[in-house]
Amino acid sequence: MSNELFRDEGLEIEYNTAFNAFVGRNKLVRVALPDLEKALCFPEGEENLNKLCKGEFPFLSPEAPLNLEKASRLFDPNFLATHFRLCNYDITPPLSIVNQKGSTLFVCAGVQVLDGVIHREDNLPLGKLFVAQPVVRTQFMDQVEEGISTCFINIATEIVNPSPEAHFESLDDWLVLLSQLGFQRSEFFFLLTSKERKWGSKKFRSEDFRIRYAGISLGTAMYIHDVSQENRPCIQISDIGLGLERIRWILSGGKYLDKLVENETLSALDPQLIDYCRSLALLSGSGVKPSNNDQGYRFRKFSKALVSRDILFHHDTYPLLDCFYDYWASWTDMVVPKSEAIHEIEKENERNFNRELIDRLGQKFSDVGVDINLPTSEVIKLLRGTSASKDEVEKILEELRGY
Amino acid sequence: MSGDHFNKNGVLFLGGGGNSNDSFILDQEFLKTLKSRKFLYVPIALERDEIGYEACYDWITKTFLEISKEFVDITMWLNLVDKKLEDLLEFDALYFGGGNTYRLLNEIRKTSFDKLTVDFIKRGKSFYGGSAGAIILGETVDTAQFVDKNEANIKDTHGLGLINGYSVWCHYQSPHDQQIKTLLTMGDGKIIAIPEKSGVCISNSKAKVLGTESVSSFSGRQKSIHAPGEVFFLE
Repeated sequence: MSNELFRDEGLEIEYNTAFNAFVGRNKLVRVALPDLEKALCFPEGEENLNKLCKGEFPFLSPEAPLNLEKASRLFDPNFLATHFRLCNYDITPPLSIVNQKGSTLFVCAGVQVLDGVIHREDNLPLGKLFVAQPVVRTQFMDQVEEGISTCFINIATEIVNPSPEAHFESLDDWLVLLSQLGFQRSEFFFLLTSKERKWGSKKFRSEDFRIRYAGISLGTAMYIHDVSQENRPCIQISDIGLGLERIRWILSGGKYLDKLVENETLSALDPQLIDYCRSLALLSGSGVKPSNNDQGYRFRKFSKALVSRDILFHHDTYPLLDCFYDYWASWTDMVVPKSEAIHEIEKENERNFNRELIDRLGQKFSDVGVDINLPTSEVIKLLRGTSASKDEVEKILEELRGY
Repeated sequence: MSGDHFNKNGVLFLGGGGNSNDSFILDQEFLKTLKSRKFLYVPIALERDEIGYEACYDWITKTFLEISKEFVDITMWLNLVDKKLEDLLEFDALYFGGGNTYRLLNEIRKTSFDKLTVDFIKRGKSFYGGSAGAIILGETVDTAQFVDKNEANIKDTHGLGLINGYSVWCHYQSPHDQQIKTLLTMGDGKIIAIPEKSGVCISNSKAKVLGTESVSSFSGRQKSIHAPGEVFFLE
C-alpha cells in the first residue's frame, strides 16, 4: 500500500514492508474495487467481492459460523481477557463512560484509554493493552436497528509507538481469536483507507483496515501516525477495535441481543425500545443524572426517545432495565446501585411521559402548564383545576398508556 | 401542494462561519423560531470518524443548551440515505454545519437530500446553515473555491438557489472584495458576504443582520454595507 502522507519516510517504508509481510503470510489477495477503495481478501473469498460491490451480500451467508455456544462465551469478560493475556497484553480496566477530560463527553471508543497520552502527554504505556470498553455513540441514535446500537462494548487492543510490524502482529492476534470463534477466512474483507483524523485539537493520519465479515463491519484496525506532542516527539498508535455485540450477533445467527429477559426473546421486541433501555441502564449506573446539559442531556434525550417508543409499544421496561444493568455491571464498575439507577430512569421517564401528556393537552387547552417534575398522579390532580375536562385527560392517558 | 402555507418558504439563518460566541445572536433568533424546540443537525460537511462526530454532537448541544433554559431536542443524522420528507417534517428546523462545501453538496446530491431540503424549506420550515451549510443555499457554491478544495470533484456548482439569486460568501473580510468582484465579472450574479462574527436571517427576501459586524451585499459593481440589526432586501 503506497502512501505519500507519512511524515517520516523511514516509517513509511517500514509500514509498507510490514503490510506486504502481513499480506504474504495471510495469503491475501489485493483487489481494486470501484467506489470501494482498495480491498484485500482471502483467496477463496474472491468471488464474494462482486457481491460486495453490488451490495448484494446476503446477511449471514451459508458459511457463517452459527455457534450459540461460542456466542455465549462472549458474555464472559474473562474469555477475551484470557486470549489477550496469552498473547502478552496487559488487561486494562475500562474507563467510566463519563469522560471527564477527554475530547468527547462520553467515551466512544476503546482507544480513548489513551486520551491522557494523546492530549495531556501522560507517560507512555510500555506494553500492549487490551480493553473491553463500554462506549456511547449518540450518532447511531437514528439508525438503531438489529445490529446497530447506541451503546456497546468496544473490545480493543492499543499499543503506543509500535513498529508497523508489531501493529500487523497485533492484527494477527485478532484473526487468531476470530478463527478460534469459528469465523471463516473466506468471508473476511479488509477495506483499506488512509484517513486524516481530528480528535479534539489533534489532527493526524491513520492507515485503516476496515474489517468486514460476510458483508458486515466488525471494526477497524488503525495504524495512527504522526500524532503531534508538545514536549516529546510525535507518537504512533496501533488501535484495533471491534464491536463485541457485532461478533456475538454473527455467531448467534442474527440475534443481536440474544438473551432472555423473563422468558421473552429480546429480538422479538422493538429494537429501539431495547436500545434506549440498554443505554439508559449504562448511563444511570455510571452516575449520569438527567439534566439539560452535558452528559445529563443524553440521559434526558434517551429517556424521551424511550417514552415515545413505549407509547407505541406499551412494554414494561423494568425487566429490561434490570437485565441490562446486570449486563453492563459484568463489564464495568457501575457506581450507582441497581435499584437507585433504575429509580432514576423511571423518574425521568415519568417526567417525559408527563411532558407528552401536557404537550398533547396543550394543543387544545392553553392553561395546562403544570409542573411535569411531579409524579403523574399529582399532575393528573392538578389538571383538574384547568380547562381540560376529566374525560379529555382520561382519553389522552388511554392513548399514551394503551389501556 | 396548494395553499399559502406551502408557498411560503421557511426562515433561513446563514452563519458567517465563526465560533459559537460569534453566532450567539443568530443562534438565539433561530431558537425562537422552533415551535416544539426540535431540530435536526447534519454535520456531514466535516469528514470525521466516530470520535469526531460524537464531538460534533457535543458541540451542537453545548452551543444551544447554553442559551436555552428549556430542553432543546437535537437529533444528529450522518446517514442521509433513504430519508423521506415525512422523516424530516418531524423537526422544526434543519441545521447544516460547516466544513467542506463541495463535500456537503456532493453528499446531499448523492442521497437526494438536496431535494428534500428544498421541499422542507418550502413547507415553511426553518433552515440554519453555518459556513458550508449556508453557502449551499445560494445560487452557486463557486464562492467556496477560495477556501475549500473541491475534492469531491463537483462539476455542477449550482447551489440550492433559495436566496433570490444570491450566492453566499462566508468568513468574509473586506480584502476579499477583489476576489468577489472577479467572481461577479464572470457572471451576472449577486453575492451576500457574511463575516464570521455575524449572520443573516432571511424571510421572504427580507434579510436582517444578526451579529456584531456588518454584512455586505454585492450586485454587479455595486457593494452595499449593512450594519448589525439592519434590515435590507435581497432584490
